Amino acid sequence: MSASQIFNFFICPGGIFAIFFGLVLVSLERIAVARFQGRVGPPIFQNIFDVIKLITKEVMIPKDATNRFFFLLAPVFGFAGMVAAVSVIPVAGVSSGLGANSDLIVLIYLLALPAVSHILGGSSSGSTYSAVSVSREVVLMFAYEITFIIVIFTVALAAGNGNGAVFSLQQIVDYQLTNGSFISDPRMLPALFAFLIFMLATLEVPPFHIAENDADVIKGYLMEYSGRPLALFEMTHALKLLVLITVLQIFFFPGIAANNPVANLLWYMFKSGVIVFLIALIHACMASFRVDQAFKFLLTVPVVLALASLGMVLFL
Amino acid sequence: MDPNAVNGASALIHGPTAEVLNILSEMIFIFCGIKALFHKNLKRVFLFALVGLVVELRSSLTVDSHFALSAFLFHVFNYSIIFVLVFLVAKTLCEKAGTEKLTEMRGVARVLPRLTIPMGIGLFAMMGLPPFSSFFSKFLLVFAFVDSGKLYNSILLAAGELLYFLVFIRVFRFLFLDKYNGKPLKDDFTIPKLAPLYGLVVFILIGGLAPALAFKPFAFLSGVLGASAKGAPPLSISWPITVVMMIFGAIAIYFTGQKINNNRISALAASALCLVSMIPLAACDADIYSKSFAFLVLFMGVLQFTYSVSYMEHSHKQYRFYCFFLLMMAGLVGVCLAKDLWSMFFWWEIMSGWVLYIALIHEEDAFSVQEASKYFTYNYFGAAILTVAVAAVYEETRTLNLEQLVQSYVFTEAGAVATALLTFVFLMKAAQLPFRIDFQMHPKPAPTPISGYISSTVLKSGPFMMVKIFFVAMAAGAVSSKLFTLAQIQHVAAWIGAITIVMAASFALLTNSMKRLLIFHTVSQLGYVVLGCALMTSIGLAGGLMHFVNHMFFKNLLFLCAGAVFIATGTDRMDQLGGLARKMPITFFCFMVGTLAISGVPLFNGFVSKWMIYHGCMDSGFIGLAIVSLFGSVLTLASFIKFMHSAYLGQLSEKLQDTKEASWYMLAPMLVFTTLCILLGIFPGAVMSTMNSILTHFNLEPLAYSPGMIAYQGAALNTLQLSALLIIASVVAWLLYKAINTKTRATHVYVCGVGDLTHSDAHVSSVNFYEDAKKFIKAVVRITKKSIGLQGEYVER
Repeated sequence: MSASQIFNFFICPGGIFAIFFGLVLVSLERIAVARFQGRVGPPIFQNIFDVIKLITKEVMIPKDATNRFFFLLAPVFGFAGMVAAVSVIPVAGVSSGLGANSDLIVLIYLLALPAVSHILGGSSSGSTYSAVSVSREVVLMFAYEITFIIVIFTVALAAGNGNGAVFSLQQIVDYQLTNGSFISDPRMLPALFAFLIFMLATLEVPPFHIAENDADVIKGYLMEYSGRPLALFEMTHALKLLVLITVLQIFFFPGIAANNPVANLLWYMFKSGVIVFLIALIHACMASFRVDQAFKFLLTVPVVLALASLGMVLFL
Repeated sequence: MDPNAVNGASALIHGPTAEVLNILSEMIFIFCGIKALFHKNLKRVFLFALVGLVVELRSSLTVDSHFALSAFLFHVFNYSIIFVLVFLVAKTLCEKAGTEKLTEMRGVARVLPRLTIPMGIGLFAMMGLPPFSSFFSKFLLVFAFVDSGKLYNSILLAAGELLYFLVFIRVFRFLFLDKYNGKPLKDDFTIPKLAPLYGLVVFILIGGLAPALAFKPFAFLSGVLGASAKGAPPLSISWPITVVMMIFGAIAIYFTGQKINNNRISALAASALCLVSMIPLAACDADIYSKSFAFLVLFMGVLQFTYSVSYMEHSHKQYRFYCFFLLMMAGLVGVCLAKDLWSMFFWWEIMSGWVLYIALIHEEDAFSVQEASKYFTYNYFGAAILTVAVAAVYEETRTLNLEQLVQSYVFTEAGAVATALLTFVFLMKAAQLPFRIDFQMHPKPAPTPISGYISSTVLKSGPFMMVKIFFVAMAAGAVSSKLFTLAQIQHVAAWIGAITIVMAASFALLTNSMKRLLIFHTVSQLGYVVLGCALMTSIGLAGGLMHFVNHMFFKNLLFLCAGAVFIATGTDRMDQLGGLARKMPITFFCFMVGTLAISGVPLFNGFVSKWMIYHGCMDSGFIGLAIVSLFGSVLTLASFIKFMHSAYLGQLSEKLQDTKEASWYMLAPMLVFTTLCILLGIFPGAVMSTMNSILTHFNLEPLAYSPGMIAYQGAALNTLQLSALLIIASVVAWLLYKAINTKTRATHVYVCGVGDLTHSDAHVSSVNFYEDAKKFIKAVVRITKKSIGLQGEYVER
């Protein structure tokens, strides 16, 4: 790896910057939801404080956890996946991702890792609530992944513009920088909505706050976690939010502000903030589905939207 | 008779007489078959079978082929020997048992092995299986039909044999596989009394092992009669040294094993035999594609037998199991190394015929016998179609040698049908479209070493041969006919693969049995292999073959883990397990690696091959295939999570408190596979030089690669870099644990204050997982069943 790649991986836009910015975005979302609901909300750095606090706290490991080592390993898994993901995806005008692996298929698998990590952790903790939430998480995954897959192929084909599919994320960005963003392409609008629904579902934001619902499964897979492992989960969540927001930008509006990396980075952060406000708005407006309702909804609405886009890209 | 006579004149019987006779004899054929299938009297069963088969033989006299007569004579001769043998044994057996009723003779053959072994051979010979003489005469007969242009009749003929197959398998089950409860019988046959029987067996075997020699007199005889056997296919079989070695080794293991009766020695001897057989293989002159597969076959064998040392310890007659297992492997190696389709077919039948059957019924309980018989029937049906297809290829090209076929393969209408039939048979072998998994896949109750082996290795013979045939057709430029084109066959095969991926993986979500789940996933993963291979492009084929190898490792690993759990707990049902990770940590670790590999998670080998297959699909412009196959991965992950949670994680039930970790004989092969899964995940380049040689062999462009990277045109996958990222990030996270030292406290899980929950109460088992997804899949199943008129249960049988 070259020096710039190491910098990208550890400092910016991956590594430390990503964790910091991701956690800020989570706080931002909490603040926005609170304001929508007429509350004050936490300070902007609240989630960073939370993580620091968790790191210094005592770790509790249930005696009933099937395998102590595995219980601690599970959060590492998702965290690693997300750290890898932030460094392989490009940020338009800032970095181009780690060359060879900046690939849509790699992205699909990396994005599945946090869910796998939740599942492994929840499952190994030995708690009944966690087991229920694991089952829910997988059922939802079953439903939302199909949308994601179709959207990905739609974008790949649209970026190929009739000459097969383009899997490289950087090339997708480049195509849009020269030919205009996909958000301005009416064929891609259904795919955009499908992707937004996918994002909500995979981030467990209402109306898909099901697997880790506080109300019925008491945080589900996170229930038995405390201290540093929980801190890892929190950071993973923040990174996942960031990755999804970045991917949304790559897919639909990667436009850059100027020919200057710093300006582009700021522009990227601003766009990310806007998306978070949008998510927060939906969060504040919606109640949660039951798991069976969510399953049906996810298998129909976003899939049809994504397929509509795919059809239009293929035949129009 | 004039050998050059035009159509309609060369048959002995022709014109309207022949038509009437045909209809009449078809009716007698079916009537006798059904009668024999349900008759209770042993001798009558054979009598009806005799009449039916003789009547059917007669049909060859209405065929306009030059050598129909010689084939007829050869077949009549073979069958008369077999029937004499069977009748002789049946008579003596009835006298001994004091009854002729089949139901009262259950298991009688088991107490009189010396007398009944010829009967067993006779039964298999009547089914027309190699290495017995009737295999060849039956093929000649089918070829005579194809030769006269009656391709569809020959399919009917081959299918009709299925009825008689059922008759014989029924007799075999009654006599050989049921438990004997009658009065004690004394095995007091003198050698002079048995000698004629074994003499006949020798005749049958000579006809089977040296068919060209055995056929000569009949060709001569029919030549004298005026119909020379011109244009008969060559009947010689290739016998690679490796295969011969394995066959002799297997027989040696049987007899020495019988004497010393020590499982460990037999298993290790079998393992060593596989290892030693690699030496002649290295020297053999087969192409790289065949040779690599043959190497893997033996490599898997070595580990499988090592595993058996522990697994089969408490079983019975292990030597018999090892012997037939090895013979089956010899058949598979024969398929790999065969230079012509005819040898391939011969070894194919050894691999999936009676040898496999005897290995699969090892446990000898009713369930294994029933399931193994189903699988045997299915394979027999596949072989019947294969007979026709091979005959048709020979009819069109006048050669079966694969190297010559590259020049002379044709895609006439019959050639196209033959290609489609061959593809169909190879897909059948790979159990694609699992409508009836109990017929299509190897049986669940068979011993795990062989289940794992069949899943991971034997079934690959399907895609393996499919690639060879596609290559032959493409290299010969035989790509389109009036009926359909080769590309269409490939596209259909690819779609069958893709649908199978999702279908089998969905069924796996419904099942509650560990082994059934793995079997469904074998089918599902073979879908990826078929999909990749059917594309026949550089990246597609490389991906397909890569998955071919990767699947060998991870699927076998998963089977071995399931076997370890089965040995430790004695149950196959996932809902009766739970929390085993605490008791069997190494097995659990291996299982996790297998799970992540099969789901295609980065760092493990499954990811690399799947990545290539998706790229291959998109490269060929098949978006639908790519979407469907990608979705399959989610289902795979889901069903393995169910397995993982309900068997290894969650709560340990009270019954399983003293479960022990598997022995080292079992763990060692598992760890080898685990290592391979991880190594190939990080350094896929390790197999890429062989893969490139194979691609070059198939006239395809090789892929660019380095140890940790695979590149294809614009796209590249740098697994080394990706793994480095993941590992660095994991190390950072792990340092977080290690660097900061706070107190650690052991607590109990939160249960809302309930105090009287037992571990089993708190455990969420497999049946409770994914209710909504299951409901959805069941609805789809119901609609499918309605629309194609299928009955009965799909999954749990």
